[in-house]
Amino acid sequence: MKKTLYIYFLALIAAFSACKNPTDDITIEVYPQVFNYRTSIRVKDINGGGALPGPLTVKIEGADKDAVYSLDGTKNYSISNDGYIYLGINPRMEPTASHPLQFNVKVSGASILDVNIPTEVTTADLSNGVFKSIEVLNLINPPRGVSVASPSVALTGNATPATSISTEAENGTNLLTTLSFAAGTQLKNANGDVLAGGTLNSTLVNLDVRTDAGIALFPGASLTSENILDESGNVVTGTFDPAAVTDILLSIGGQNVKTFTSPVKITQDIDPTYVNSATGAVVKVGDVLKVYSYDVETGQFKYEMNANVINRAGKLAVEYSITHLTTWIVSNAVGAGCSSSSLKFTGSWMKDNVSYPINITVKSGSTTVLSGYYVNVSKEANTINLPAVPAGSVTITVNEAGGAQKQLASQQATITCGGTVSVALSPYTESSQVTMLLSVKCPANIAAGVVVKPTFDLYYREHTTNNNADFLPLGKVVDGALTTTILDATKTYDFKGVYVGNSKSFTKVVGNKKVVADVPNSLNVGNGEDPNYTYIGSTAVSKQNNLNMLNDACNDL
Amino acid sequence: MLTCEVTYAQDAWLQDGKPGNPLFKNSVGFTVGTQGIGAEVGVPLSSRFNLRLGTSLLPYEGDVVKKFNSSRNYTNDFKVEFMNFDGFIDWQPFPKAGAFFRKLALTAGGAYFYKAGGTATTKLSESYFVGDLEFTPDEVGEIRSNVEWKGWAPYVGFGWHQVTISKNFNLGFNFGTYYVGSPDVKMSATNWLAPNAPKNEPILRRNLEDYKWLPKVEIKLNFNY
Repeated sequence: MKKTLYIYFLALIAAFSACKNPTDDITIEVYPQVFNYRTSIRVKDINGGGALPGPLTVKIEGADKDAVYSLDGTKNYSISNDGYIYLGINPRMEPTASHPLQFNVKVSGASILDVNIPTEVTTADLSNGVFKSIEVLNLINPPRGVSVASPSVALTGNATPATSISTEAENGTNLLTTLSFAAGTQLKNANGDVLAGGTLNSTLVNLDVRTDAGIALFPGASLTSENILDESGNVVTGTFDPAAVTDILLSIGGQNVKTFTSPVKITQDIDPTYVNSATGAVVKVGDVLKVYSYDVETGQFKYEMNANVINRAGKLAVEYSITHLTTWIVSNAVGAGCSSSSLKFTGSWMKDNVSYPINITVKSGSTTVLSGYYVNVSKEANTINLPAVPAGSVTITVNEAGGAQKQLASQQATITCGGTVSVALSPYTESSQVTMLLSVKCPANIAAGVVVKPTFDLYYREHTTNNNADFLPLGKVVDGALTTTILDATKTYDFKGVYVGNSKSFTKVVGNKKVVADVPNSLNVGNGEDPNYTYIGSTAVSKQNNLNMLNDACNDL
Repeated sequence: MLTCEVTYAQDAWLQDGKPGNPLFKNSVGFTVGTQGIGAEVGVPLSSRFNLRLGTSLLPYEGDVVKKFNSSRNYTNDFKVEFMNFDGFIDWQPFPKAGAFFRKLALTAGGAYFYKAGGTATTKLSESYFVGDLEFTPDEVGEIRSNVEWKGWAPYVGFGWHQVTISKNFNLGFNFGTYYVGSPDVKMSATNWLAPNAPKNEPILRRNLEDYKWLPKVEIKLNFNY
């Protein structure tokens, strides 16, 4: 009997000790989705070509600059090798309906004409983010309509002789700008110190506003600005109708000139076909036009003076004196502009929960005042806020953002501040539904079977040889999955993923990929130990790079 | 024969007419053990069988820090609750043995668990940084794990009863196990931890699938009436 009892006791003990630790093999990872609002800006050479002339620096300024971070969560802004600036909004400082965020992205470099891009993030940008495509002037490769000159002046006693420097007739433009120095003019830096040196170097850029490039390179990348200091000292929104635009950079011994000891005379040829809105007629000698300066640091236009139209060697020009250096713009009265108007897109063909990327162009008369404005619209989010555009009659054109870029709408509309214009879109070129799935197996966790389904922003473009087209937002891959009807299963695409980790962000481009309609396009990525999770790459080097990236990503978890 | 007479002279007579000491008496008492605290009533059914009815309650809360195969510390706040009504039949196998074995009883029975299981809330122990941006553990999210056994559970065990400490008061000890079966496991998660729930729920279920036996170690203080 006692023997039976001992066996009974042992059986009880065995039953209790057979259990596993409940937390065995449990792995917890953080999948950060830091930025609900994101902005991507493509910066490209207006004259085409591949890489931007570097190095370039990126700076964020403006009222809401504190809210803007790079995707690694720092204030170290940069531009990628392929010309993209990726920004995120601090989730604690997101826009509200009554307070859209406004900031300026300044891109500068020795080889480009610095640009300051006003950027606005509104609540409408929550799901798809803001995408802008900006063209910059490569000073050593100017396009048609832009002349760039770099004359120098020998200084005596740190002062100029009585002399003039001028742009040249080139690149299809004969509009010239001339700077005339009085003898003994000394030049000062931003601190007001007279600069010492034997040579005054210059870069003079003249934009012919009759050309597309001249308009595209207009300061702020838009003729409409919300930051114009008018004659009364008020900051207003308005639209320029420029007759001449000149950017002037002078330097001595590597230090930039900001002011002079004596005023410098500037003479700018103007568009002879320019219609002076004050007279309603083509501009003529004796007309009075307004002169504005533009500060690329702040992105602000400032009314400076009026200037008379004169005849210079048979060409119409304006002549006036300046006391500081900047970009000088001759325009007639600044037209009204609106920064609070919106567009509402309709189309009974829109499917539930499908985003349609579109490109919006707005023209005022024959002048393009907004282009390269990419947004995603959907049945659920069909209203977007327009950036600053002229008030009044405009032509709104909407095209598909990618693919054949089919025109979806083109209509006359009247922009009113705070108003909404309804735009009926014709059916989008939709393909069959495509689902993309991505799973990643971290090398360190192969045995544990840990699979990561990442969340990141995905961009796309149709694949062509030497493709320099913009990567357009396709959407947000959530937990490794994205469904879209934008992609055509008969075409090949380049995809770019922009991933935000806890200590860094990185991009990954996968080129020349076909998608398959109606079935998930799965990609399982690992180190190859698990045959179901091979690592991708066509060469040993690219495989190793991809594996390194995978390891980095996994270490980030 | 004399020896036998001397031995039996110290014993009482069982109700079935055989010599020995009956172990069980009418009793009420309190219990403390792995099932928490409780109360029970004992009623002898015969000279060697006893019926006990009782209830017990185990509330327990605590926290523990673990890394869960990551480089970060996670704090688990857990709460365990076991509440049941139970009923047992005790059988005295050695009524004629010396005091140690004479007070031993084998037990069978069962309990109805109207609460049996626990919840754990797992969060980062410290803030999470993305560059210069700090996110609190609450902002990063939490994982809630819920493990639950419910319903009827049979029991087998043994124990010592009627260990006298004064005239009407005595101690008892019970050792045994309930068979509760595999638990229901549910896991949910929020915010940046959300993908962890579907991934880890089957792992936790697998780890707990052998947790079918719920041990019971208990000491009780009884009053005989």
